[in-house]
Amino acid sequence: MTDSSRLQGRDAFLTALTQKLGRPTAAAPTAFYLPQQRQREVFQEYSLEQLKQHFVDYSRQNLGAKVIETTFDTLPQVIEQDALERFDEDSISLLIGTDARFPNSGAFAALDSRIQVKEWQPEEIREQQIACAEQAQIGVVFAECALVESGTIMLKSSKAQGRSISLLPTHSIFVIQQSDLLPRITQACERLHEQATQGHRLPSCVNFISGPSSTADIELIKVVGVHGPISATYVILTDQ
Amino acid sequence: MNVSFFATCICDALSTEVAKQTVLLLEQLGCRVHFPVRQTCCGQPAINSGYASQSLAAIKVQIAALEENDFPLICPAGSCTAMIHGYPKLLQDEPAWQQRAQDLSDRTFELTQFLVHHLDTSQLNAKLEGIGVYHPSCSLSRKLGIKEEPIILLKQVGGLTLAPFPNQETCCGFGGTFSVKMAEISGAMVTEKAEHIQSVTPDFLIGADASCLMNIGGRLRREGSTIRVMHIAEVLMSR
Amino acid sequence: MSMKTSQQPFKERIKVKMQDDVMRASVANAQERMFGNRARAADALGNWDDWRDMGASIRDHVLENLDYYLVQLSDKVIENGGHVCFAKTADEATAYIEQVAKQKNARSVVKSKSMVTEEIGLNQVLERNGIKVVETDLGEYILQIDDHDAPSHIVAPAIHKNRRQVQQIFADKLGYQGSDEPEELTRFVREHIRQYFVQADIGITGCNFAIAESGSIALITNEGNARLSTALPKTHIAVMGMERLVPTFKELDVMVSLLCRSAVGLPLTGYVTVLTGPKEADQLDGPEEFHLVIVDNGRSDILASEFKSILRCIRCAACANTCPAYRHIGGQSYGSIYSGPIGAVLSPLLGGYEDFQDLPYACSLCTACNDVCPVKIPLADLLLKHREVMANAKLTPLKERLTVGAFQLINKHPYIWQQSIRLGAKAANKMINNGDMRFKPQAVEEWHETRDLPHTSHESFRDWFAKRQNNGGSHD
Repeated sequence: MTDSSRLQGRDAFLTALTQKLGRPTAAAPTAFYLPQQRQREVFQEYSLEQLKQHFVDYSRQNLGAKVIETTFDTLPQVIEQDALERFDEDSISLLIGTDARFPNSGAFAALDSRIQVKEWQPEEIREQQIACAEQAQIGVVFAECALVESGTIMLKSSKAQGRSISLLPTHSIFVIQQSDLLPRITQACERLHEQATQGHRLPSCVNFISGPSSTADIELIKVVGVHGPISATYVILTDQ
Repeated sequence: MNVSFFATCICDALSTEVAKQTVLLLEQLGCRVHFPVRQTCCGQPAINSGYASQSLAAIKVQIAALEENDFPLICPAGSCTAMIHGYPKLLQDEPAWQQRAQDLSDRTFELTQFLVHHLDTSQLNAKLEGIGVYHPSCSLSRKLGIKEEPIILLKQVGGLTLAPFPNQETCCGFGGTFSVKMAEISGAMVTEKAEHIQSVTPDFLIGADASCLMNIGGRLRREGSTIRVMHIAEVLMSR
Repeated sequence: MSMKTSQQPFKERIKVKMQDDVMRASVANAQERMFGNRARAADALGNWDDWRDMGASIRDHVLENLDYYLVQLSDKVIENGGHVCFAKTADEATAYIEQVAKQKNARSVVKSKSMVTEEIGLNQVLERNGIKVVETDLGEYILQIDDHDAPSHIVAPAIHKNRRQVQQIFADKLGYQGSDEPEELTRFVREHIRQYFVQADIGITGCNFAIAESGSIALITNEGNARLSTALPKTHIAVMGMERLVPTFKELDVMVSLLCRSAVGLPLTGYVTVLTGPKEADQLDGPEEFHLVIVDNGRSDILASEFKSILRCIRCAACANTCPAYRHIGGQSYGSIYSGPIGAVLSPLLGGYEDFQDLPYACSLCTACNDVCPVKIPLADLLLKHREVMANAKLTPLKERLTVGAFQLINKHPYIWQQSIRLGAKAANKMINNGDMRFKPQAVEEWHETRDLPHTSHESFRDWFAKRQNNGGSHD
């Protein structure tokens, strides 16, 4: 397939549009400046500790997420404990991304025998891996960063961490390095902007996830757990 | 101080007591009130129905009539004041008229705005015993941004307690020709407004736009309510 | 469903809808909640008016340079390996999507909530081809299985129904046997719809914002359905109104901050998903093919008109959530998928006055909508502008034009006006008894339906004033 076959109707469309805009040809805009920069002021004065506290409080109170602070070495045990608390079952299926920032897979092999740990296998067949995610009760992913203002986890899709892991299982566990806490979406967008400016293609899917999925489509009453996960746990690694 | 008075057609023909009390109030505060007799309607019924360009001739007659003097022009209604403030834009294609409209607009004040910012109201000595609710009309509060002035004045009234009520800032449903063109919707709006007012069982409903008061008052009376409906000029003239 | 959702005349429609007590209670409840949520979120952020200025200036900049940014956007999408279709009309857009569906031998499609796909009537076109289309937003799904009931709100389309009605629909159509608790109803749909996500050949979404610098699209949801629609099917088609873009991620930040607060009162919704092209070759899930369909469908005409500022709209529905007319007539009364003040401005522009001429009058010009709009669209002014266009084109009723003509004639002659007021005051005083009148002109009749007529005085103010002056300033 050539490039032109992937692009339809542009010339006629844009010629008409440019005409409507009252100029002969589309020209590059003059530089655009916002009249204010209020977005940079949010939490500007906060220390890292204050940022973390707001993140923890907001996520718990407004999103109903469970938030745990721990260190890198005890991460497997914290995940184990969260899984066992969440699911009182003989067999708990847990799907985990193979992001390099996780402890090596050996660390998860030694978990409670009720927990069946599966790793995302990008070399396997798509349908099988999706089915695996569908059947898993828990999906564990490593966050790119987190946004304090809204209790948000930012994820980038990658070979090691497919989109399905944080989407199909009923429970999500997000692992966040404390140093990756950003005040708000402003700072995350700046990073994406930088990447785009440098001409890099962005990851095909960047997600900003705030707590478990929810709806208020019936009588405006908030119900947690619709198409995405029904519950979420945030694990903050305070030594990272 | 010499002031000119814009009565508004509703207060001229129907709610005459509002216009009278406004004149008496201004006089009590030391003003000499002039009434340009050639004044007509501000044009709102036609303009808000979309007949702006068809209204320009009448607007010019109005501007000329109000040029009888160059005193501050006082109007006891937010919506008519807002309309006069809109004249310069309506006449933007005719620079000479636009300038005259601008001069008029610059010296046109809504009553409470004028009282608070240009007169000394400390000796008003108004008294009204009971609980009142204040309806901030859309024109006054949103279009003219006059939110605090009526409250400042009402707080000076001896014996009067102001009570808040649900959805206080919501439109009463008058909207000029809207009240007859879309009578069903307007009726539902005023019915709910009356409900909200009655829910706090006040003695008085107070407002600064006679048209809204005629609307809400008409509904309250239909429901047999004994709440007394008063324009702020009448309240400030109560002893 | 295309943009028009009803064949009934407006007045008949509102007569029926206003008798629907369930709808009216549901809408009032929803309005109170959404209005409160928005206001609290705006307060919590602080400097809200500055944020609105930032939003308005971004949107105006985009509209002013739309041609340039659309070139940049489409170049980037192609560079990322995606496909782009520029569609001048609704038919061009649906034809393109139909063709993609045929190429893929698609049997089933999952859709996440999108106003523009409704505007272009996409579902009917797909269904005509024997393709099963499943709306996956809970509200949209309720409407779809309720024999395609019309949406009543841009953000929460089934807001006119209460839980018991939803329970009944699920029972009738899906054999649901549970309670009317929203949580149980929602879980039921979760389980029920999952199969469709897994089986679907194509996922179709709208586009809240496209980002020109990277060729990305941003989808803003709470339920997770847009993520599912774009993670599992092998083909993703995103449909966007051509004005829905931002130059860079820096502006996306501001727009998302405004949209989430204005729509649902949150700093961010549950999912803000930024998608760039098809999935990378080394990734497993995500679409293998990505198509972006950019729809004009009348927007470029608006861009060149005095209604241009309506294209700033980011579909948050804050205007509907504050509109007193919307509150009482409900969204379906508008007869358009776009309801509330935004619908009353937009529907006649996109669909013509013939079908939507009444909407601009379903407004008391209270301007509450102007005050909440996150991008400062002067909605009430635009509604008035519509009335002006119709009056100038003589699309208004002849009787109205004659009445206005008579009014103007009197109003521009001070002497006649003066006599009219004096006589009018006397006549009103004579004819109005106990808030009623024996013979009522139609306008008075309409008023009197819900309201008494006023107490008046035997003489006009001007007569009183004149007498008083003649008596040397004393009261008579």
